Amino acid sequence: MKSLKILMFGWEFPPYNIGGLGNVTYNLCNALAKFGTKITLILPIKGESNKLKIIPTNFVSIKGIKSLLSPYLNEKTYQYKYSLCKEEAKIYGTNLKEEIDRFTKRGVKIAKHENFDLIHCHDWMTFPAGMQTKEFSGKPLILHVHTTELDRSCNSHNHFVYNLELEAFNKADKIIAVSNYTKNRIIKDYNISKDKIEVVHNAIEFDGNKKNKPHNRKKIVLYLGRISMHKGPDYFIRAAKKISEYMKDVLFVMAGSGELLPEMIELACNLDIGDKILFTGRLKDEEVKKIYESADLYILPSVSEPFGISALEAASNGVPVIVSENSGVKEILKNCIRVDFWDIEEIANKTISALRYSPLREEITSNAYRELTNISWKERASKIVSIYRSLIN
Amino acid sequence: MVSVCFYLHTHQPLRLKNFRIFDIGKEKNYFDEERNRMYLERIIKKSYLPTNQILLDLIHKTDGKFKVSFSITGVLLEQLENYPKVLESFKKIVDTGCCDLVGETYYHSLASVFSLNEFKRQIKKQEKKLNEVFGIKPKTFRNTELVYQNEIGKFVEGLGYKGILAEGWDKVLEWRSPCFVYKGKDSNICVLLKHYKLSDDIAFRFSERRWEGWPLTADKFSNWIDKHNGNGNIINLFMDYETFGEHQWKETGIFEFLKHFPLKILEKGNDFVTTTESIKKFKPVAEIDFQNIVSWADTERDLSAWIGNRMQQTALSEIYRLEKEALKYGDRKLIDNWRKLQISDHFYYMCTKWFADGDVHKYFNPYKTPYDCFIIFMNALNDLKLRLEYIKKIKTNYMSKRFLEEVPKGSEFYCKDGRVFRKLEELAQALKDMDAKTFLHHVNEEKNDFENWIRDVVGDIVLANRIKRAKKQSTIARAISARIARLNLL
Repeated sequence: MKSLKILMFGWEFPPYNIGGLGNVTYNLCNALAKFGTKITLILPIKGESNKLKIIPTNFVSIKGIKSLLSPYLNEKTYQYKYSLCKEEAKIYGTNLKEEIDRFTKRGVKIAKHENFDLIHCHDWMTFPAGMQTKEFSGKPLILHVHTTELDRSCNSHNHFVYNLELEAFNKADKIIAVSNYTKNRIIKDYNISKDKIEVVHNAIEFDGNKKNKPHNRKKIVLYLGRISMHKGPDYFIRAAKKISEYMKDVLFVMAGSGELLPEMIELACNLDIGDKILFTGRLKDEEVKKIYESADLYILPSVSEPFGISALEAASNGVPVIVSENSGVKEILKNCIRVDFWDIEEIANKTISALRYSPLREEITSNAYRELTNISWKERASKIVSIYRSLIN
Repeated sequence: MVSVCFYLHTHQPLRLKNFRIFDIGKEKNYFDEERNRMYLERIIKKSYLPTNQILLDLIHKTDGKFKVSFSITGVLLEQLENYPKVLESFKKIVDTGCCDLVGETYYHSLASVFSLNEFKRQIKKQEKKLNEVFGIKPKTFRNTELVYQNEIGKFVEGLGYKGILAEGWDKVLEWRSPCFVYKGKDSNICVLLKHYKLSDDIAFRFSERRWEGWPLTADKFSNWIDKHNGNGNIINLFMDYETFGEHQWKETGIFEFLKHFPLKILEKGNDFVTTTESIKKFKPVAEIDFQNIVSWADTERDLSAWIGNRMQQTALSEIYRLEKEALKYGDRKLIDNWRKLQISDHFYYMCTKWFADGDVHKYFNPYKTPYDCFIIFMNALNDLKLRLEYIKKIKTNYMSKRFLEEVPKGSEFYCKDGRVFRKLEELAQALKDMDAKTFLHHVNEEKNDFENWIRDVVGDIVLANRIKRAKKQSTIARAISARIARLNLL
């Protein structure tokens, strides 16, 4: 079979990760390459020079476009970023929309010199580039949806972004959603036909190493992720309050950074549990590993979580997981405890129970290990390759 | 001629409500009454009423040649108390004399594995219940999930049972056929072996379109039965009652099948026997050795669905660890709760062996996940432990001479009429001639000062509880005097 040539528009690539998307893109491309797929990845890059400083790869050819764009930007955070750069200001757009236009133009220009069979775009910032590339090349367009505007914004969405997504969803030949949860959102909130959407869950590479937890010490309950509204950090803190009223000797760790961090610190202090919660800020990869190793329980209380790959990471590090019902990851990680994010009392109940009844933690952990061994990027990539083929033939 | 022994196991579990850690110690009910009622009413409508009608009609139509045996758990009989019509429909069948009742544990528990004493008590309780409701004493026995091994047979024989039901499992039978009556090893109990192939043809495969036997007609099935003619005496068709109408929906044609297959079997010259008749009619042909526990569940025929994981083992060992103290100190309600927490279904819902492989459709679970069930169960169990500790405290302080002693200075009872009581004796004396106004000042709708003083200062919780609701002066006076007399005897 002739090898497929894919033109991919991405957001980020390791080691410059803000969210999980960089790693997802990396692992996905790596797995796709093993099926003989040739990928050209067009990315916004930042930094002083035009040179790319990313993990060296030989399975994907990367073309960087110097841009202020990075995942999870919104108009406000873009303005803040823009205000920080002085000399370069003249090349960047003065607002987010302009900057996306600029990225799109540059991206399409690169695309015109490329030879490809398909266009594969990750999330909204790349959608205009994808649509325009489709227009001039006539090649099929696949939109890979890791999150929608409605997930990110908790009901106060930006109309410009929403409309952009809506237009792109309609023009796409295929949409890949990271979960049935996301698929249903696209069907319901964007009125897209279900036949157009395929679900390909994210994965992780589980090394099969089972971790032993140290016993007889303070219990650690972990939140790890961006500290933004849709991740539900405030529910975590309110549950922490309830838990510490009932159970002493529990330490809560809120790892990650985000626009709500100051607010969360304040909330913890107001609830008088400032001494029970540790705010670590953004952690490096090695630190993330360490924190997983020491945690007894991981909570993902998201208001809306298209996938939630951190839950898989926690599980692969032997940490039992409590996840929001509004998440995609629960579809493939059955061995977890599910809660409604708003039910603080239930989160507290399940957390205390899990900390108190060790057989529960042991059982979840060992069964989750078994589940993880059946999850791989290779299997996901093969599904995506078959989607590619179905569009070409 | 072969005889068919058609036995239906009838049981409905009690599901727990979401008992949170914060509910411990708050005197809340463990069971989700609303949901249990909903499930029960559904099964009554879909299964019990239509099936019982068909069974009764069959008995009448065949002039009593059709026979059926039931086991109905005490837990279900209790739930059916609010549905006299349903109980009546069971009674009507039993009253024909063509129906045998099989003994078991009242609470559908795994007590046989964890405590033989408790096993015995639950069997006796079930016998009492069957006698109350149906006026029948069972002669044959079925253990929860058909759990059987030699020791269990011997034990049950000791309780007066003549026969026991067990799985006709190939690994035990080897070359033997399940179509004969056997004798248990180390005992004289008759063992009736389930013909699992023919039983499961109805219970599991009836509506399975990919099965080569589909569609299963009365003709076809009675032919399969008839084929055993000459190489077997008895075909034991054992299954859950809910097969009819619940596991196999009405739409599958299961009721039509039930109406006809017994007639076809009789037409071919074969007959039906109840469990008790079968052991009277057939003498054991050989001894059968069940060294290890065998159940009728899953492809493994073991108890792994109930005791296979750490959560289940923890929950079970915790509940049976309470046996001694629960029975010694517990009141009726506590013991009843303790036993209802032994219902095997709780542990089944904690099973992860299918769940872990992502195959969650194989069985029905009223809880979100096995983990939720474990959390709820353990929270309820911890509440029970707390209640038990409290009752124990009361009961171990039941009788003590120190209740007669003088209370410490500063804790005396200051009566409205000016008197001061330093000990129970003085209160008892004073109550004899206390004027009504003074009494009503201390004992009225809002409070009972005497009770509080006796409970908190004197420390006699039993006496305090005894006069808790008493409103009459003479009643209280008499209770206190009687108590003093008892304590003086120590």
